[in-house]
Amino acid sequence: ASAQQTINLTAISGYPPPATWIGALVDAYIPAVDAQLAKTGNFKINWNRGISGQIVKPRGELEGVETGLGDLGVIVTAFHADKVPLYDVSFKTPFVSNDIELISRVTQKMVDTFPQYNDVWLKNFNQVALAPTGAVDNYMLWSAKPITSIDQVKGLKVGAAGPNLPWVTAIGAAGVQTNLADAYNSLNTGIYEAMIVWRQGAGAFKLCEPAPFAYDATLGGVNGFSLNFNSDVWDGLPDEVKKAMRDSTPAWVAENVKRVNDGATSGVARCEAEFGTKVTTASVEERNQWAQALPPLGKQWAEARNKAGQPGTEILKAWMDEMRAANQPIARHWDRE
Amino acid sequence: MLRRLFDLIVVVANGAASGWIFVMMALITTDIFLRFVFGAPISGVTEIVEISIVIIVYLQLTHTLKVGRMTRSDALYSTILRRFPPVGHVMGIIFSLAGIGLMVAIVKGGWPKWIQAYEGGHFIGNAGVFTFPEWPQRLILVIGCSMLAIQFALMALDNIRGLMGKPPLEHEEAVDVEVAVIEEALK
Amino acid sequence: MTGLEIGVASIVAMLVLIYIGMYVPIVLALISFVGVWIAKDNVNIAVSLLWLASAKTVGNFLFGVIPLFVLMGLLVSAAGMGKDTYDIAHSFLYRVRGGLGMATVVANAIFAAITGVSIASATVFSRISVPEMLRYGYKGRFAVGTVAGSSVLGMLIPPSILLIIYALIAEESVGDLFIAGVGPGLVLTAAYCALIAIMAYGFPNSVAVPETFTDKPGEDDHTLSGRELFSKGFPIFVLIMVVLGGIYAGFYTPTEAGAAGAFVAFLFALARRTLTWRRLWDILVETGHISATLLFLIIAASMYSRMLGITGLPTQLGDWIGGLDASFGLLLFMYVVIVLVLGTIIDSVSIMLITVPLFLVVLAPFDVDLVWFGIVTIIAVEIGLLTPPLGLAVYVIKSSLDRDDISLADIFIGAAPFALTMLLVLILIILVPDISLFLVELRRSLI
Ligand code: NA
Ligand code: NA
Repeated sequence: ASAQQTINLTAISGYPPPATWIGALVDAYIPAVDAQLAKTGNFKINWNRGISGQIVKPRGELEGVETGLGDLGVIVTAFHADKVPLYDVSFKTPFVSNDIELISRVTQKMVDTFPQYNDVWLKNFNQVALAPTGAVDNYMLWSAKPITSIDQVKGLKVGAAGPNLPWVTAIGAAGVQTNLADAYNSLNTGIYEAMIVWRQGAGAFKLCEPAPFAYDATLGGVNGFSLNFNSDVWDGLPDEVKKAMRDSTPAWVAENVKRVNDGATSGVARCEAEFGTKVTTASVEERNQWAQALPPLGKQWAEARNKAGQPGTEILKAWMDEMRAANQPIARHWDRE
Repeated sequence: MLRRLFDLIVVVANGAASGWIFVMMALITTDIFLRFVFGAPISGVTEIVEISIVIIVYLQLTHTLKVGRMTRSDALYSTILRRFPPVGHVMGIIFSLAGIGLMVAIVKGGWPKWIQAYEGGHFIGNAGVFTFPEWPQRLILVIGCSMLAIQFALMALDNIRGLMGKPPLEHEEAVDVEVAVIEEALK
Repeated sequence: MTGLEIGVASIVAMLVLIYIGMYVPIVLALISFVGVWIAKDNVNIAVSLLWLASAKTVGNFLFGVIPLFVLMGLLVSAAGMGKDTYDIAHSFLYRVRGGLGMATVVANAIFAAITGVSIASATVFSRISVPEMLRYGYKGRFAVGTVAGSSVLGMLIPPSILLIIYALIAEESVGDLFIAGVGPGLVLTAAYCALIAIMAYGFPNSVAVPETFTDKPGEDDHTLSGRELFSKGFPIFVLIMVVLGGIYAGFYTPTEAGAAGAFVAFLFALARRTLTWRRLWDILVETGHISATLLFLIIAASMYSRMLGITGLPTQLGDWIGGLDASFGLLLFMYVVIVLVLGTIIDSVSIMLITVPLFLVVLAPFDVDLVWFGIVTIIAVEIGLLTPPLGLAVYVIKSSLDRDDISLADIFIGAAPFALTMLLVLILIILVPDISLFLVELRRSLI
């Protein structure tokens, strides 16, 4: 142990530990790396947990890792459709899967299969991507008044994050672009009467207080994050440390997935206990009707990617093939249009 | 001559940003009104406001510095400048040099980033809803910090003139240009 | 150098440089640049820090509140409405010794219901109350101190940017936090009035020149007639409905409330014919100057707190506290002390982002009511608005007043009794959680 080398590493995020992907980083990933390195005792990481916006604000993680303010960080790929659009495939294929573990795993498979994912990170943003993970298990429509049929959505003011907006405008809602931060107040005050959000989010932000009714049409989940290293720092790490960093990513993914799923269960439980939440499950016909009302999101996305010289069509097909192979409740085959 | 041109640019940038604040207010109010009355919000207002704040800051900062409104605690400094002018001028030169150095650093950091945003076609907002290119605000940051660096240099120059016993160049001219531009804008 | 060493060295350097007159944002940027350079031994990363903070700190819809509420504040004063609020409060309080000061406090409490940022309160009342108090022979330090002290009500009484940000960090309901702010806001208002009474009767020379408090037969009568009360009170009522009603029962976010409020104030100013084109232009330029100054200060403060993050100071602090195995009382005491110390040098939002998540983890085993903890946090953080060397409320007053005869030091000294009163109220709020939670419990029981 006398020859032990200490390496200083700063992990960054604009989000605090209650965010599942950061809680998983602090409570699962970092301990897993430490444990693996402790086996030989050659290296010890001196972690600086630069999370909670200490070093970068939300959405600032990509450039924080790129410029070396952080050595590693969790990039919210969902916010950077202009920079890493390939991660967006899950947003363009709703009504497909509500298995966040599967979504994480298949995204990893896309990253492994198509080198364009890593090329973009390395060439344009000076970073190495270790692993992606899912953000959302299943989006639902939460509303102040009960919704039992998609016809009731027509003319309703519905809040949604940008990428989710086309899902509701397609069935006649007046879409209001929003974010979780404003949601409670906006629902409370009628800026919008319903919102597209997942169960863990609804519970954690108490959105079910102003919007106690949930309509579940299995809109499905999305991938949202990538754990990245600054590539200069990465190149300077000893191989044993690099290996520990890679080997530990499943712990991060698994813990994040677990927290999202547990949060969904406890979120709904909290909503039911405190605010009398009622979840209505859409009939198969209603769900199909909603899915068919959407524009061909997958095809549009794939064509835009093709035009940019990326294998959009191939990725979309590979994505849907994986989902079909896993017997997901697919309401629309986005790659066959 | 160049100095007058620079002053003019500073005043125009300041005026543009000031007017933009009013436009921003009108835009948000209209958005609320349309959303409330017709259920039809203007898309992209959030993004426009986010971009506007950055642009307003960097267009306005040089003028703010020029007219002496940037935050400082100058009780001790002005006393020194009055009692021991050479010491005060040297301090003033050091303060300005610090300002120049930092602004040059920001410009150095920001120059490749605006080009990256321009060449990569990066945007703010969501594809299919509302998008706006990211490079203009990044370019304005670079321009604004360059203007600040020049302004600090002009202030250092006045301190150097002060050391040689000459009067400062800064004040009179600046006021003239400002009044002229404002009156122009009011016609 | 360790994070702690850089942290301590940076505070000393900051004090010296600010004191000798370097521009405050330049001081913060310089210290951050050097700090990162030392911590990372890499000048490029230091350059990146400056750029990232410059580009990515204020480009957020939330920061729209600053220009918009500043604009609203200036338009409100252009329309004479700040003065009206003040006249109304004054008409009830002018007979009391120190009544002008109390009127400032009460007017601020009312105005707090139409603003979410203390900056706006400080801007408006430094322009209305300070000249008025000086006219009646009040001391400059007392006048600016009263404005600085009472401006914190702007972010304690809802709506409040700080409460919203806390709600986001702690995952608590914004509605609960807003309601929880009402009781403490009223308590602080009362405490300030008591402080002013004590100063005016006990130490009159600290408040005004002797003639002010000697009874004169021909003293001005400030009582408003019912008609005056209505004509002065109605626009304020409308503005409160537009801003606060808009956020609660209504239709928008704080930033939008700022725009709507500014627009309504603009209409009132037009209707009262107090606005010429030239005046409007001056107001817009002034709005720009104040906003640019503040936003640049926020950007520079963000550079500094990011630098501290890079040195690892918050992590070291967290590990240290986590390893102490301390009681709840001791932890809470340490929390308040840390927030107060940070409050002397960094901005409110940064303090909350650094300390709240840290202590949520540390306090998790104790089953704390996070709404109450939020109010404790807000008051502790807001004391920092009044403490040197970096006291945002004080800087705002300095830049809004733009007078050479009142120095930054005068404002800090004048604000000191108010900061001390806040500290006492903070202790009271800690000891009696019901002051914050009474209305929240009531609301919860009604659902
Ligand atoms: Na308020
Ligand atoms: Na302070």
